Amino acid sequence: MEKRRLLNKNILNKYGIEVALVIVCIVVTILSPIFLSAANIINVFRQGSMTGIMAVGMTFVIIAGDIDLSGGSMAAFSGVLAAGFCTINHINCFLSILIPIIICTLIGIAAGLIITKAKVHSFVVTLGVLSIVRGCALIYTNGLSISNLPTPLCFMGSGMVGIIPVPVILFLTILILGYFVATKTPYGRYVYAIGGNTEATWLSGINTDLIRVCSFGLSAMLAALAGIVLMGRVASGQPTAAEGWELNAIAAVVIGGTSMYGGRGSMFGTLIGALFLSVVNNGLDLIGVTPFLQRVVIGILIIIAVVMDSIKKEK
Amino acid sequence: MKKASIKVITLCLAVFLVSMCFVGCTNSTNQSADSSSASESADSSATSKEQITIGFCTQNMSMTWMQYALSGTQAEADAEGVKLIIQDANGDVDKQTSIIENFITQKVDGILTDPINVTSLTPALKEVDQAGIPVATFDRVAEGAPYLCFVGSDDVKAGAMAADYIAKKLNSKGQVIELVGQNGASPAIDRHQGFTDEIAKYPDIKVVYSQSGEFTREKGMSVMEDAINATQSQFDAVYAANDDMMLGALQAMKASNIDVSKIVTISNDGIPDALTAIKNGDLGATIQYPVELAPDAFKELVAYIQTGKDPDQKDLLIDPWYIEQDTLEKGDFYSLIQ
Repeated sequence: MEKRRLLNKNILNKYGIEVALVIVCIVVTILSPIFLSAANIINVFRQGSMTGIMAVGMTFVIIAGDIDLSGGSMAAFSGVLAAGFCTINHINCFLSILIPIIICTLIGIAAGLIITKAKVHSFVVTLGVLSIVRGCALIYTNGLSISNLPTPLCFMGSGMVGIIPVPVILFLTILILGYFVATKTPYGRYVYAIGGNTEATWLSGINTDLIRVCSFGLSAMLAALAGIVLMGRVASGQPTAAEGWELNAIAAVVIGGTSMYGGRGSMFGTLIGALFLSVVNNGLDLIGVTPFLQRVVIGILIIIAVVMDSIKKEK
Repeated sequence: MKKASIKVITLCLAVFLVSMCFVGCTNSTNQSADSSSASESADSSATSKEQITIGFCTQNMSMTWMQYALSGTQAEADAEGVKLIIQDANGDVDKQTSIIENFITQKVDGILTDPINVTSLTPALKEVDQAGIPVATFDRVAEGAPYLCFVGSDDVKAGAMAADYIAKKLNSKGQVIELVGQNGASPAIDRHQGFTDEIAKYPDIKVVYSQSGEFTREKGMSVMEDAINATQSQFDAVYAANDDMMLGALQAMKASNIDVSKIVTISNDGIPDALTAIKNGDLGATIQYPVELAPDAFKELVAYIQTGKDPDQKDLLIDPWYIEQDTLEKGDFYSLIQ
């Protein structure tokens, strides 16, 4: 009797979010059968790919006990830079995409250095970066969008490999790589250790500052990549795009079971979290719920997820 | 505590799922109520066909003009027995792309939309074309995208008309503040172009401040506040590319104790609030942005789906017209301010 009770609780606690995802899928399918069609499932992955890519980087940052609020601005900035380099400076597509990603990664590293060396909370610093980078995007473009992008530049956003959209392939690849880095590399282990107990980890001789700086760089790099995908999807560099996307990424990470307090979490959880958000967004669209109500629903979900996380931590 | 945690989790999930079902049922009831009344009218018409579904994606429902465009289209849809699936992109280019992708999976018979940005919807519309679904656009163009027809208004002319009005009222001499529309939106681009080119024909008229108010009332108000400070209230006329911005600007002027009846003011769209402002003497004139754009595009789309008839004109531009205090009844929304 005791054993069975513990088993039920463990399953719900361990697989709570996966169960929730399945239940939501069932409910949506009942209300709109087209949800389960191959084309729509591909859409669910495609539409959630940008949040998902950003969430992979965010997972490392949050597990280490920090937070990164600059993702949305990075995405917009990399998108407009890539668009501008290609159409205005006539740089080839490959470099037009690579250079903005490198630039954003460096900005992320700089933010990480300020956070670790000046010992300031990541919330405030990345909030500042959010503002600075968004401003840079608006300055670079004079507030206008950059259009008429050549098709090869948009490949990462609107290209196809067979019937699979490129953003889906990118998302799953980044996720698998993220899983590998989190579980099989020393860097990954140190991230968990730092999140669990920063002081103890530092005392055991690990350069905690370096690890945290790397996480911020990674988060910025993946946010920039998400921005390139977005640019491809809407065939333009939009300086005002991706506002609030970092919050979506954080939601995906937290819903997936990663603790806001750090030290606990998984890349698989981030996948489930990102899918959960995408399924809800897509499902609410198919059912015909207005975008205004959609935001209410998503807000409720985030609160439920954080409450569940807190209960888990309490036990 | 451990038992309680399972209960809390289950309770939260249950609440959420029940509310989702409720929301879903409400929408299905609304849709089935629409379709049952629609199918009645469809049966009574000469050609009874299977009900057509049109996916309607607005670019931003919080814009006053858009709300009236939507209700006009809904009335047309009800009259013709067509089911309208309505989604709003809330000004988000990625959301609009996602909505169009979802329309494709929902296998709608046609799509009616208002692209936020001249190129932002083009990749999605290319996919729609590959899926063989006809697309009609209104209000804003989608460059480089395949489409059945576009119904818009000559916005270059609308901008020029504003310039001519100001020049006439100022006797071709004075200082003007311009509130430009949303960045990247074709009406904003065209109206600004038309205005700038026409005002250049009057050498003694100077545009002393020109900024984007993003087509919203709040931004229009804050930009006007800045303009009043920057020009130290030395201006004679204000042109706003839409009524929402102008109404915000009028508030800003009143808050700075500027007598708005002494300033020449003109804007575009012709929404009910603007007509009321003209009636009160706050606003000088507005230039009607015909509200029939969306229903007209809708009619062409439905005609094409039902009979294969190509639209008479691929790009139809309806001429705008002035509305002043003595010609208020020319406004499309005149009946709404009675």
